[in-house]
Amino acid sequence: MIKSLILAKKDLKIEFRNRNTLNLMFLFSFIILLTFNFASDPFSTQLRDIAPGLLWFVLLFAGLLGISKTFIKEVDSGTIEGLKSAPISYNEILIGKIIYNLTIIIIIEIITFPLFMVLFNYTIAGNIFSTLAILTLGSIGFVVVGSFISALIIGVQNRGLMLQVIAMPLLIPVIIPTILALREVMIFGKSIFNISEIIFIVGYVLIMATLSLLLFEYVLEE
Amino acid sequence: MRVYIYLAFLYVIVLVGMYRALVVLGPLSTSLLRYAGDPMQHGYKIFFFTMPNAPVVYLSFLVVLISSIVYLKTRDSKWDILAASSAKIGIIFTTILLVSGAIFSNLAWGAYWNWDPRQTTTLFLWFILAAYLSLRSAIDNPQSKARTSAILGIFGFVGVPLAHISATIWTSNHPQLYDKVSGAGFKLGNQELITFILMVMGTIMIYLYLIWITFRIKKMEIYKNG
Repeated sequence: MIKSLILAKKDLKIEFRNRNTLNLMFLFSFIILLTFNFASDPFSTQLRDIAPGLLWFVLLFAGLLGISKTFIKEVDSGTIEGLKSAPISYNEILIGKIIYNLTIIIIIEIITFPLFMVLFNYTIAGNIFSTLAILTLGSIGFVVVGSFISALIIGVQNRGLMLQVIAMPLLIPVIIPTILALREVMIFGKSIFNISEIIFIVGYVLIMATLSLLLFEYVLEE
Repeated sequence: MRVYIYLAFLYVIVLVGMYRALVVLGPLSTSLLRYAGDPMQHGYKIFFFTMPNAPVVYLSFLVVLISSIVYLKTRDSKWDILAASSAKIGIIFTTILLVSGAIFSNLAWGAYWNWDPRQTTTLFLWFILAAYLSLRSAIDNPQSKARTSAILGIFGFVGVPLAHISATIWTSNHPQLYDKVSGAGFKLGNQELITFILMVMGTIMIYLYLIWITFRIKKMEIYKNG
């Protein structure tokens, strides 16, 4: 576990040296938020209904955009062999990558959320921290599955598209309950402890994490 | 020789099942499904062509799961071929299930697609199989293809329990044969039950037959290409 943290720290250090992925993800989510604004009249009540879904999709697509490069970056720079021969187990590599991706997503979430509130002129009925907690929980879901899949598709042509096509069906049980939970909090102002979807998401993420850790040794072997 | 006996058996089962579904329960029959407040009249008969596809879809996922696990353990390429054939045939049956399910949905609930949890989760199964097949077609190296798709095949199975429990954990209009809570699910009489069981058996046999053919064709292709 300590080794995973060291690995995540290394990746974050490299990322903050040039901030390539972060800038890209931020610009992407900003542009999507702007264009979504024209999908409906910004001052109408309709927007109130669809806004939680829009917020979640911006985060999801920006996140998958960043996650798709997790392991391909290592392949391109030729460091994947070094990573494999390092005295650390494959599962620790995966956990390290998940921690790194999650950190990046949380940074994007913290930047995007206020931007969303301002651009959409949105007042949240429930607690802001509950909203952020649900967004983070959903992010954990797609980061776990996305990191695993991004290692799986190292040898595939059209990797960027392939990640979306493979990850989306596996992520549907996270994506939809997250939208429902966000709606409960943002529109109806429910407390986070009264939402049954949360248990479902947590259970599904645990299943996915267990499967990923069980199968990851087969992914990296060559 | 064994194959012909098998084929003959298959034909008999399928023909008898279809005959019963079409004629015994036909417009002339006095026997009707005891489905409270049935607005569908004879439309319910599509049940006998829709429902038997569901166990086959689950079965094809199970075959993909098991042969993927065995492949990862033994690295014998025939298990990979079996998984690929099962996915290929499975996606056909999932498509049939979705289309005929949509017809049932239109008859029973007034819309071809009304986002019933059962319908939606079945569509996810279709997407998982489509992702599995497109992943296979995107990798050239046979070993790498087999290993990668085996891992996805194991992952993809999570959709099956989800599709199965979807109608009970979320609000659903989908009829259930074993509704323990309210007893409001419809019950099959003897006539319908025999027809139903025959149709399920026949559809499973069509699946087994198709998978056997696909398996052999794929094996021959590999033999031809060296």
